[in-house]
Amino acid sequence: MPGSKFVAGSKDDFDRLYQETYQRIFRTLVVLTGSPAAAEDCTQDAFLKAFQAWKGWKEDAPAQAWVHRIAINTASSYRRKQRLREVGEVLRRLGRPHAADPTEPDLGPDMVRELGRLPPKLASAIVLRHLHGYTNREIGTILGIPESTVASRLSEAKKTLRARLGPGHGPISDTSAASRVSPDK
Amino acid sequence: MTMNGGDGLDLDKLLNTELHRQVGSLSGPSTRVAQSAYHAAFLTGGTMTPLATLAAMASSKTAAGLAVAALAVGGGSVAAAAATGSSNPLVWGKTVSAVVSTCKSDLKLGAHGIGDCVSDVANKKGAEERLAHSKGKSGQDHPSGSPTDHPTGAPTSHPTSTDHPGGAPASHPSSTNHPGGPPAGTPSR
Repeated sequence: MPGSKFVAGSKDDFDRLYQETYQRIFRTLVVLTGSPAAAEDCTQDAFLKAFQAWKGWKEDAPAQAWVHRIAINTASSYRRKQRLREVGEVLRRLGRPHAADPTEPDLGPDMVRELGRLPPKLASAIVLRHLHGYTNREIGTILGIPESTVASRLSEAKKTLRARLGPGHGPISDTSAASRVSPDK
Repeated sequence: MTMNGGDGLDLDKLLNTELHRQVGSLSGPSTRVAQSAYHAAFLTGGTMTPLATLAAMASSKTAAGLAVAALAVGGGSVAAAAATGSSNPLVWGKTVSAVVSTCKSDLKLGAHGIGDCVSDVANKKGAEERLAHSKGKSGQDHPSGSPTDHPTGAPTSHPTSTDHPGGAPASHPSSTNHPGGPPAGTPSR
């Protein structure tokens, strides 16, 4: 995590914070929201909220971690609203098949989709570790939780992913395909 | 730490490779401060009007929306006038609409970068219009002709500063009385 110095309330410093963290936060939110367009909306919303609170930022947490936390919370709110909308959609469709949005790029199979299905608090721990390479301590700072909680969230997230992805997932599983019994047999 | 559950699924490795492959190369469209919602809010005095917010939250069109918001909202009038070379809000709207349309047609479906495109074209157009405007003022492009061709009249019929309706624009907004100025709760430079 970069250790740049920032002065709370300074517009110039906030501009620098934006430029330093924008891409990282955007990528985190792509996974949490499951959509680049939603991620961009949430990223902008998060920076707007952060800017409004910038005067009150305290140096006890790095500014990058502080704004990342705001962004993750923003994405979590988005997910809650999205779920409510989806319930309404399901009721409206009443069994009609769901048509994919052609304007949304395909984020690929399985992994990102499955991460998007995890609760945001679990998915964010996974993204911060495996996409950005933060340590448990740094993740704890970003999420505002103890290191031990980070470890348990990572463990829970992986347990859930393992159960959902199963042994038949992707290229890694191919290496051990011979040792497994095919479900067809 | 690897987490091989005994089923051949090296989840840590899979997470690293898949996340980097699928997300690591993605790039958000609003990389520049000028394209950000908070900067638009700063320009408009710390709060965004519902119209500007709607424009800014228009999904992947965010950057273009911000350009429109920054130009359309009163607080951004200086930036808008600078970009379009006109003090007329109608001109800003037309200019921005034209610029956004041009950029949309130039970009492939789903491609990012409309914010950059809008910004570049708007700046270029603004520079062209300012240049044209300044040329007009300098008189270099005025048709030449003998002085006798000019309409003549008594000097008293010419408008003067004293009989100009309204006189000096005392009511024009300034940095101190601008209604859209930064509120007390907004960070300032």
